[in-house]
Amino acid sequence: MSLLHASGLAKRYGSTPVFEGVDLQLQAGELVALLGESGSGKSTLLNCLAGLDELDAGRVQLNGAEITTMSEGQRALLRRAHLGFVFQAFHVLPHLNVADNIALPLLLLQKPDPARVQEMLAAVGLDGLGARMPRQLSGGQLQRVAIARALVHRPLLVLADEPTGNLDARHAGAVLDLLLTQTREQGSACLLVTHSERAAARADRCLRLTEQGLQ
Amino acid sequence: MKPDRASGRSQAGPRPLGGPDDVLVGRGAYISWLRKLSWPALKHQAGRQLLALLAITLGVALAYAVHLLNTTALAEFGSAAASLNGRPDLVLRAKAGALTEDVYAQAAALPGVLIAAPVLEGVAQATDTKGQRFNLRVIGLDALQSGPLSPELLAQGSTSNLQRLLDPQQLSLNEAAQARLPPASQTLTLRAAAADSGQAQNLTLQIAGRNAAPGSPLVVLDIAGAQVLLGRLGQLDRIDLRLQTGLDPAQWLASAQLPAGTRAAPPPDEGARLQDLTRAYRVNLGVLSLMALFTGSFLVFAVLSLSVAQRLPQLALLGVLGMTARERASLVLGEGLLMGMLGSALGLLLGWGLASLGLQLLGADLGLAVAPGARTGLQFSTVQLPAAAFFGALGLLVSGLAAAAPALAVQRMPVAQVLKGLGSEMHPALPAWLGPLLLFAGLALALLPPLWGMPLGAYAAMLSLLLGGIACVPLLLRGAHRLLALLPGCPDPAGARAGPRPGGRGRPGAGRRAGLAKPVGGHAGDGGQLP
Repeated sequence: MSLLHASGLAKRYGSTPVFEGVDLQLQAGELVALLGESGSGKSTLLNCLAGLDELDAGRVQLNGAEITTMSEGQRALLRRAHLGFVFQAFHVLPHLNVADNIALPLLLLQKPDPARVQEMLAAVGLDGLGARMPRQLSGGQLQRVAIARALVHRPLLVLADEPTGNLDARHAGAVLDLLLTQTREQGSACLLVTHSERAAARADRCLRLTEQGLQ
Repeated sequence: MKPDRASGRSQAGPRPLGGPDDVLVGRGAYISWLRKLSWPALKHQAGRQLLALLAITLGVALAYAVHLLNTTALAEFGSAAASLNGRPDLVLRAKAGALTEDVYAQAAALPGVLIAAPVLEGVAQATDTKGQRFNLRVIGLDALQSGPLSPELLAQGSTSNLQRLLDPQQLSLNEAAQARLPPASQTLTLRAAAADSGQAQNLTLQIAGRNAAPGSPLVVLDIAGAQVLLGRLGQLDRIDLRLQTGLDPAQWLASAQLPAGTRAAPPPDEGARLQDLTRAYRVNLGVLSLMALFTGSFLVFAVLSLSVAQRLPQLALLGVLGMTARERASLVLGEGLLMGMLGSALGLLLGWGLASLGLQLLGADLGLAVAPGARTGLQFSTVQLPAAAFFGALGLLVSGLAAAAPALAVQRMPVAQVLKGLGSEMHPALPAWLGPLLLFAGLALALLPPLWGMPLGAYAAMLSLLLGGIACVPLLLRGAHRLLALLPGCPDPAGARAGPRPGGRGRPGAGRRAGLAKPVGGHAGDGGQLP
């Protein structure tokens, strides 16, 4: 059974279709790259899979649980427990230090685990920087914080939306390595939205979102 | 199969997915989130948050202080009135004119009467230390009869000296009268118009001591001396009656054969009379202080709205990471309630302090000189707890209401859209006609006559004018923008900053909102982390 099973997904804004007839399956521990032109709806698809945006048609199941029929509150609780997110723009809370930012999912779950946070800090190469504030870190380091935050609660699925889009080539490679390594080590599935063919080449499988659906 | 080093989880298959209820958190979570998520963010807006806190604190303090001052002053006045009038069960008066002394004998002989105390009242003049004449209230009484009913009117320490009590050549002064006279005066010359002849006459009496009567200058002397001074020989104003223990005054009155030409009634409740007299003043003051609290709530609303607007992307991130809409709203509401709780607590303390200071400066009678020498400063009593709870709850309610709109905005925002920097409407736009309508309604309400003796229309007018003024602000801003746009070389301030927005609705005011949102998003959206 697939970890993520999406079928017949369609989304439109008014009369403009964003995507139609999208079918997608992800196995546990699998890393899939999602390519597509700008405006093709990759991020929207990611939002719909995460239950952040409403679909016009189709079904999404995460480990057998039907997301599309859940209420907004149930979808949020599902994200809290089972999904991890990495964004292009890092999105860290500026008033929390690095360790607290990484611990955010655990705080939402009310399952504090300082040892796990230290473990993640070490895993992403930020050992000893837990007390620093985000403004004291570089872009590459901030994205490492985001990766650690996405994985700290051991989610089933990590959704990464162009995680290297704001980084130079050297840092982008390092961050991508880290994301892939950590995701695989934890056994989480990962759907990686990217423009980069090089990044996509590191994935287990590549999909391209076009007007005809996922190819 | 690859082992999972971090979690020890096998990758053979997906682990079972717990239901959403598995990650529901209890109330303790909100406290933890307030402490770990809200507090660090609010600390960075300490100035604004303190200003809002101050608004609640001052509003509650003012309302509570006014209430304490009013209740204390009323209680003191009631106590002072009781001191002067004594505490008889019934007061016997003539239906017309004055009582005669033979009525006194009849009244004292009525079955069931324990004490019958004759009283004569009038006004005399004396000369103060500067040689100026001033008025004194004169009370003539039979010390033996009036003692149990009005002990405050007897000269202090005189109860051991029966002769002094009954000597018509002696008098006692209260504190206010003594303060006007030269110190260590042994005698006092009183000047009064004799009722029988209409001629002014002087009478010099020995000062026997001081009585504890509160209020304006007053002398107490034996009723015979008072009759001479006032030229009312053989006359009485009233007879205070104390009935035997166990007798109900109303029942006694229904069956008693009162002397001809007299009527008896319970003593007037002067405290209640003052309450009626000062009701308008007290209600006005109370409403004005509540208006201050209400105005403060707008400041709280503005501060919370701005705070939320600045943290919108952060709150959206929490939403993406799994904080439900209700939890986000509760977090914002919790911040408002926490501010309200703190503001109310501080406001109650400050209100107590202000009232205490006011009483020390003005006296318990607020300078009306009805109860000089009355205790100053507030005494804590459990009777004050309901009022403290009421005003504390009012501060909490006002803060909660002020936080409700930002909380609702946070609850309804599309988190993914906000996180992408596409913004969100914080509050629905008010219709343009609402502000002017409220202002006109305020003017109309101000013209309404009082209802139940209170200017309820005026209060509603104040509220309406306040709300109308606030509702007119967007209208005035739009007008100002248009005027600025007419100036040569001056770009449209709204349009210049807002620029085109994806999905822009082109509504009037959208530019202004975007103009606000842009710098907010730029500076605070991601804590400056966005490249």
